[in-house]
Amino acid sequence: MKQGFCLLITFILLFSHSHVYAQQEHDNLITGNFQNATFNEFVKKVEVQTDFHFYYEAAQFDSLAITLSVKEAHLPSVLDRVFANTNWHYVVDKNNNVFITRGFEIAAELPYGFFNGETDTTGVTAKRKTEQVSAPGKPQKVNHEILIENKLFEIGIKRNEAPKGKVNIAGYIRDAQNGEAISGALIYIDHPHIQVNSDQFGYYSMILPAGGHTLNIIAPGMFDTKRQMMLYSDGKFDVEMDEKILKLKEVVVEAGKEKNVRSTTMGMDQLKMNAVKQIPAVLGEVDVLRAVLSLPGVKSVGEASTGLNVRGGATDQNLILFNGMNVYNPSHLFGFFSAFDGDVIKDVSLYKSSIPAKYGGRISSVLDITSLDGNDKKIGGSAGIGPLTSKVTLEGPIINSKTTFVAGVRATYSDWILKLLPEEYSNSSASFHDATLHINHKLNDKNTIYANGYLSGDKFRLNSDTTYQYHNKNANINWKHIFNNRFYGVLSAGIDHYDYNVAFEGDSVSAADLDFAINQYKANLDFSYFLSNKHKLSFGLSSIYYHVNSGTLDPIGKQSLVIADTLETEQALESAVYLSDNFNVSSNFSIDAGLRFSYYNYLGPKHINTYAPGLPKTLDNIISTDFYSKGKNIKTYMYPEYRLSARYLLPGNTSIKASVNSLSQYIHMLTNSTTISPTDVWKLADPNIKPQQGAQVSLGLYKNFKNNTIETSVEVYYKWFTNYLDYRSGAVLVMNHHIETDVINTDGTAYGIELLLKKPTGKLNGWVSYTYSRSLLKQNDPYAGEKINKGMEYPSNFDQPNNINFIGNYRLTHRFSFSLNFTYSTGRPITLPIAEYDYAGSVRVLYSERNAYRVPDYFRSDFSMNLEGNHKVHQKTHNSWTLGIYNLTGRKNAYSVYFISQNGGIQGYKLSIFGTAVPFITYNIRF
Amino acid sequence: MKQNYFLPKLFVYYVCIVLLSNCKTPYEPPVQNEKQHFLVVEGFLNGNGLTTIKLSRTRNITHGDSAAYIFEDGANVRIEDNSNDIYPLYNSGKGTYTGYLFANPSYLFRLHITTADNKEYLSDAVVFKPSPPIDQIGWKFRNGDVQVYANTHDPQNSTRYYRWEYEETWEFHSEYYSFLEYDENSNSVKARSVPVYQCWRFDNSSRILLGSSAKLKEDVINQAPIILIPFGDRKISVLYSILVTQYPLDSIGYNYWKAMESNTENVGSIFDPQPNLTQGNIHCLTDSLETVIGYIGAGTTQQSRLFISHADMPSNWTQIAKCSEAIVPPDSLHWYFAQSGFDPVDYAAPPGNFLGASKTCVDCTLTGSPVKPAFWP
Repeated sequence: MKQGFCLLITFILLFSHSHVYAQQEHDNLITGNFQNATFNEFVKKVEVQTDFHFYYEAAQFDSLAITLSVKEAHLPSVLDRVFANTNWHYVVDKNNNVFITRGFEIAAELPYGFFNGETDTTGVTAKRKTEQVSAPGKPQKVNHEILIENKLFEIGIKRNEAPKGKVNIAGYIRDAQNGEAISGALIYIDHPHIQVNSDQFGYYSMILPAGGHTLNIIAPGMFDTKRQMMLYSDGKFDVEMDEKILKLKEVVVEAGKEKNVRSTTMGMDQLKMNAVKQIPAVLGEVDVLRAVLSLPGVKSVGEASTGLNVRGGATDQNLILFNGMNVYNPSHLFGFFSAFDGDVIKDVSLYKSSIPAKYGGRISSVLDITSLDGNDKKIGGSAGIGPLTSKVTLEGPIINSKTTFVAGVRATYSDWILKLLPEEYSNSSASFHDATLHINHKLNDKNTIYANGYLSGDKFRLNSDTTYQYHNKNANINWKHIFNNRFYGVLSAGIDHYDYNVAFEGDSVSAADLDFAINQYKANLDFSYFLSNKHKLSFGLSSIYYHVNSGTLDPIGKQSLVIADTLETEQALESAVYLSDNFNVSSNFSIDAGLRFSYYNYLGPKHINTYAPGLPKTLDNIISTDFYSKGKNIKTYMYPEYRLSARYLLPGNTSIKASVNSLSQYIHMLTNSTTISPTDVWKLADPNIKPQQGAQVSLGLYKNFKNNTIETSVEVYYKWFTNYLDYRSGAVLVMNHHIETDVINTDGTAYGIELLLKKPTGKLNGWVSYTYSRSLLKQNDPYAGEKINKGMEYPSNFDQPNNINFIGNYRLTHRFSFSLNFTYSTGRPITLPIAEYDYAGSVRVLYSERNAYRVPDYFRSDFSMNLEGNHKVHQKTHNSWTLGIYNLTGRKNAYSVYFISQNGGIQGYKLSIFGTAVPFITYNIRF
Repeated sequence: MKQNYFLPKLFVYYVCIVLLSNCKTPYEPPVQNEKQHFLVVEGFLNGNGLTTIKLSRTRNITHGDSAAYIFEDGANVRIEDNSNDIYPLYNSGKGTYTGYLFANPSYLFRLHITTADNKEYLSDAVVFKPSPPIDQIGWKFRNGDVQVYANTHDPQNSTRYYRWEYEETWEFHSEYYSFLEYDENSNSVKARSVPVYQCWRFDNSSRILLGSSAKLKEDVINQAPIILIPFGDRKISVLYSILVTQYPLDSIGYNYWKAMESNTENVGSIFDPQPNLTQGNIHCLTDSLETVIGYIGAGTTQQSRLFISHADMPSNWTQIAKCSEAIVPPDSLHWYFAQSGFDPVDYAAPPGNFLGASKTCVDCTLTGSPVKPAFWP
């Protein structure tokens, strides 16, 4: 028996370079649904369907139960899943014989030095080896995968003696299809258990004992893969992974398999774009922010708003980063759509509890949106036609895959809708556009340059004399330098710009034009140092220079009597240094501890009012006004911020995590309406308005079932924040020279529990989440003069205690899939009229205490289907149709409830934004 | 082409989305039963005319059921100035208190109320603010409708904040001139004793009309909208008149009125602010936490009247009213004129028959007053 094996191995090895599967792609595919099947049953079924023949020792497979559902899958991918996390190994020869071994592997190639007398090959890196393997005639994908997985890679300089000591390997994890970096991939070996994650560049670095290892790589949306390696000394090792969707296996909505259990991060959700695209979208516009809204703990005050309220925080407390660019207004068309083009986005990560020390400046969450890197293999693109917008995306290499780019443009033709309205709306118009550019240039193995640009613009006028416009303009450039395998740094510089303009032209005497703009100039230097398997350090510094044009009012036309007025500009410098350590205390216990120190200077030129201490900030109480010259430091704030999270791994794919965070925010958004509106003013912290501060503690339990096919988690949190701004009654937020007299400091607390059950893979996949959460505000400003709700705690606008989300996808065939989702949440709080009275010829209402009542509960269900064109690989274009219905039940969900005096009485109205079932259809083409 | 098939249907839905008013449905709030009824004080300490103060109480939301109105009678109401003069106001029923004050523009004035249940209320002392004259009450066509507006200015640049109220009067005529009327007692048609062809109607402002020149170089109000009369409105079927009263405001008072306006007239669109809880300038001395509604200002008022004639309207302004006509035979007089809402208009052939038309088209006194106002030309 053993001899036979040896012979077979030799036989296989001899042919390993040249053999290619005899059968065609469409032959030998496996379809079946196994529920706790024995291995024998599995083999029988496979042998009936295909011409594979299995060789194995039946007795060894007694304990293996197989639960698996596959449709027209290739054998290797099926076996990969069957043997995932086991010590079984297999190899397939050219005659379709399958050999199963336990505990050891049949390598596809003998290691160097296996036979005496073979000459030493020095300095061979795995990279070169990989190229050798994939070069000859581009073998079919599946075979290529087997070859790669069974091939032994030698890393480092081979010595005569047996390798010993520790070896550092590092490299990139990429998508084999288009060269996209894969962030958040888990790379690990089992014995001893050592694991790391790839960072946002797809880069990883790990220290392993010298010698032979099986390196396992898993990543969301990708096929699990592994590499056999023999480590001699430090070296580079890149891994390419195959995307699952290409094999038409299953819809991918997953967040990293057992990554949820193993990583120290908690309260973090990552959505891959192909998962986002499955979710039925309003009017067919794929919308990342709306997808984020389906995650537990994320809410919005209404449907016409993409402002996010994360775990009871306000909409201005989220740092929204698009490739590192800070986008101030992420919405289009009154807030109906997010301002990001779904076709250029790779993934979206939301940090809602443990926020890495690298990030700062906002106290509630960080939403990190990453674009595609650009296909480094070929020029390609996509185009989409929907009822509201059309878009084009192009990507590809520029100079022999050293430089890649992604560019996307989206523009609307929504004006035609407005043209269909009755004549009284004939003065309405609305339009928007956005454009994204990402360029990735690899100077050499050690240096890479990334450049990003983003533009978005909106202009609308809805049956009034007032035109609103706003723009985001962002750009940055990043230089990544790898000092050595364990150490790299990224230097970034960027500009973020947001402005709006409101032009009122109704009446020639008061025609005026209002402008607001914020500019941010920033530079970051971030380092990542892989000290050992136990310690991974991140450290760096950052600086942001703010320049805010708080408001300029200009008359329009000669007849206008409006006084030109300009608020003094605001300047500030926000700097921070940070250090964090990802510390693996033991194989079960790891800690991510970080400290960030932020330092803020409010700078001249500016006039500053000083108010009498102990008295309300009113104009009567100004005791002096001082002028600070340009660049002079007016006020300094500094805060240490701690970020701590820990994970303890329990037996049975279970872990407990805890985190504690504190954050500071030196900029406030002043808004009197409940959503992000185009006239919101951003105000820097100054001597009279303090920075916002927040802190959060959270605890979570994570457990995966059924071989990581079912993920469950429970997270509880408690957070509090101070110096959040509320407003005095009748506050003037626009063109106010002394805004501090109109704002009131408010403290907030929020707490909640989030339950999540997720089935990331399979024909039927999706998730169900339930959240119970509260968000309460309390005005404790002793000098405010007036007290909201007499100084008692009251629910915030986004306090929606019960929330249930269901997202489900079912793939019927390779080309046809359905998605269905449900959302339920408690209605948001509102202030209701409690009494009426007559005044000035009409009935008026008296309002209750702030937010004492709620709008009716919210419920919505959406449905969509995706119909893909044929999947022949070698056709010029691939096309797909998406059609569906938003708000299937047509429920008139209340966006708001309000009361007006009408015909001598008080009439309440419920305003619904999408008060009917909205069908949509879009056509997408990929080339 | 699936797309082409779907698109026309989509139009309908998008119209609803963009045209938010179509997605607006009536809403009944959960039933409120507020035990407490707060004092509501409305009025202006008028230096050039009769001062009228109205006292009432807040009530549960009634949807226009006037029976639930709560007037506050029997209170002791007086105006005080800072030289210790007291001007009492007299209760004339329905919560109305009237009287005169001696206007010394350099004095401060306040309102002092003691209610029948012996609670004491006092307004802040306010400066006496004279109103500049109204320069013009004018009108213009705006998209076919008639927009009435007010112009004013203060050469001293000291008024800055304004509020307007108006009283409308318009003459209108029946569709038919009838010189006959039906007498039920005798079941016969006879000559009409009182003409019902020419009538007048009246209406008062119900919206809060505010103007501010605070952001302008000069204290000028140009074409502040007063009322929009929609195209074809019967208000201008013969002659229309509007009397506008202008009140000066201080900035605190302006903010109070603005808040009241936005709380009740301007809410519910996407970007509108949430309701605010502005306090007026009247306080309860007996219980300092008690809510009191109202803002009292002092000064002089100005008035101006505008007439708009039907002759100035385009020829298609008047739309023909829908009137039923019938030839009423002698044996059906009672049926038509007593039971079916018809009035006799004229004789009809054959003799003994009458031309009848629906009452609303014959008798203007059903909706107006036949008494010509004194100021009518």
